[in-house]
Amino acid sequence: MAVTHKALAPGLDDRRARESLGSRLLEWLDLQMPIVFNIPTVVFLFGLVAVPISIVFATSFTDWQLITKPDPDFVGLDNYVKPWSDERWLGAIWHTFAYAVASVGGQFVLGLATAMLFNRSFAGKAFYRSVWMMPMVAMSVAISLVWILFFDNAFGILNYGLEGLGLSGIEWITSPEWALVSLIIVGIWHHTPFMTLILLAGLQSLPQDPFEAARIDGASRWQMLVHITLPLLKTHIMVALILRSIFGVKEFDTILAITEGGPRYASETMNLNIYFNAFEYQYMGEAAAKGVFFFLFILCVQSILVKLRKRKWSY
Amino acid sequence: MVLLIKRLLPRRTYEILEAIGTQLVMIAVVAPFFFIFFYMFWNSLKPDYLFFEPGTWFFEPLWSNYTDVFEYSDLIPNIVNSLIISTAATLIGLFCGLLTAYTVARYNLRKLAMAILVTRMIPYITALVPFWIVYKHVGLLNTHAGIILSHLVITIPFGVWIMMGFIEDIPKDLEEAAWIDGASRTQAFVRIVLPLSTPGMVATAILCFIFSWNNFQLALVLGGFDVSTAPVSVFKYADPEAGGSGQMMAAATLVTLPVFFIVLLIQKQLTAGLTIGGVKQ
Repeated sequence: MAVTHKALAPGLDDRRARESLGSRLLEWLDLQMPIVFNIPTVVFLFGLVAVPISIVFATSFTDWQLITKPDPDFVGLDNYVKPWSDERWLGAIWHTFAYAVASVGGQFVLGLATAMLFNRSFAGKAFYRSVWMMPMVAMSVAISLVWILFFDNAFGILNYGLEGLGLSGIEWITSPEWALVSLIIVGIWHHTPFMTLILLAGLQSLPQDPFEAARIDGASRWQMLVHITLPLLKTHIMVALILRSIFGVKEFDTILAITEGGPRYASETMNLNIYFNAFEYQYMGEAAAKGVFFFLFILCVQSILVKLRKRKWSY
Repeated sequence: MVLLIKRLLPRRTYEILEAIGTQLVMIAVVAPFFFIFFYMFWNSLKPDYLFFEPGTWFFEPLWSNYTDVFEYSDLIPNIVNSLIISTAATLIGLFCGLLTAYTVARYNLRKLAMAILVTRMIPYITALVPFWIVYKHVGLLNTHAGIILSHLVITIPFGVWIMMGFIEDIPKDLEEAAWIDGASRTQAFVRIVLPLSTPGMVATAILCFIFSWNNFQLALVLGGFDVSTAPVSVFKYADPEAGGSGQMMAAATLVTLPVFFIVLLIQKQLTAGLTIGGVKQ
């Protein structure tokens, strides 16, 4: 329509030509928008994810070691078989699992409790929420430093407190029994706020009617929590659990900074094990195979949780 | 028990008591979080010998821990590096995220969205082995460009997912009205969607920046003596014997405080961004 009007006006030939080029470009962009707009993302992610994954996959079939064996040979599935007789790697898998389950479990219980606290109105709520959110944005290496001082055997504030209560101090990060437990405490401290945030968003989206009805029927608070809140919250709960489990399995910063996987590998997770293999011992082939396994492990964790979300929890 | 007290007391007194009780509970709840950051700052002013007396809380503040960090550690140059790297990674991530999020939301490209979600699942360590190998060949180890590229693995997927939430909240009617008035899709995107998604873009940018700023593992492997990031410098203090507890806490405070100020300034948008990023997956 607009074009025909302009075509009738005299002396606008030049402008018409330009406009038609511009509008043809716009028209083309409109038609191709889903492709053109995604070029940057797809190019970057292809180069930064798909290419590296293929390289790591190829490397995993070689016995490449940077210094001791710089010319790699094809060794088939050796790198995928060998680690299963290595006690250190088996330990790392167990520690990863234990760390993820314990820290996510703790985060969930505390996160649910605090989300219910925050889901009411009271004075100073914004302030409390700001403080509550701080661990989420704090640099994990920086807070690890504080925890290192807390965990100090002789002068740490935790043992100082325990001794003040007349108990004996604990060798938090220097004993194999407690190292992983200490890291789990840090993990719970660090990531409970994220759990709270998601569960709080869920609580705020719940309808009020079922609670009114239950109150009239004389349900106790505990009954309302178990029979109404949790079932209604299932989507948010599962999303929070999936996200936190995946990040829990991948945890690296606090573990490397606080215990370095020690003492005697007692708190070494898969992530650290691969890091040491690749960048300290420089066994690239073995590290690549473990890296591929680690990625598949995370995908499995995710798909299991996603399946659980679809099945068991549908009320 | 609560009901009994409620019945016995006059209503006004009960309300006051309840308010005080809530405040006490909330203080107890946030105390562990507040305390760690307070301890971080307080101990950054402590002379080192007082670390061996954990019961001493009052002392003459000592600012030399900070000047020592400036002088003896590479924290300041690495903070500058971190600012460059995180800003670049954030801008690229936001640009890609905005465009992809718009097409995913409006053309319903669920498969692309799922593919991007999978890239978020990849552990950094699995990607780091090939990154390191390629970087060594092309000479990107220990450079700004190399670390920025690796940080795009954080910012692009994150940017897409958060921007998607924000763009889905912009009513489609507005764009449709513009089309009827003769605007093309692209024009409607530039004139309507862009201005309306500015608050979302700010929240996304800040979150991307914080996650890039806090990332330790990528720069630990791909950085080096010339170019590294702030967390790597902070990590060098992980041994209390390296610089003493005072310098340790001073370094930790220096990288933590700026982020807190940002959070306090725009708390609401951040909550929205983090929640969308989490829930809408």
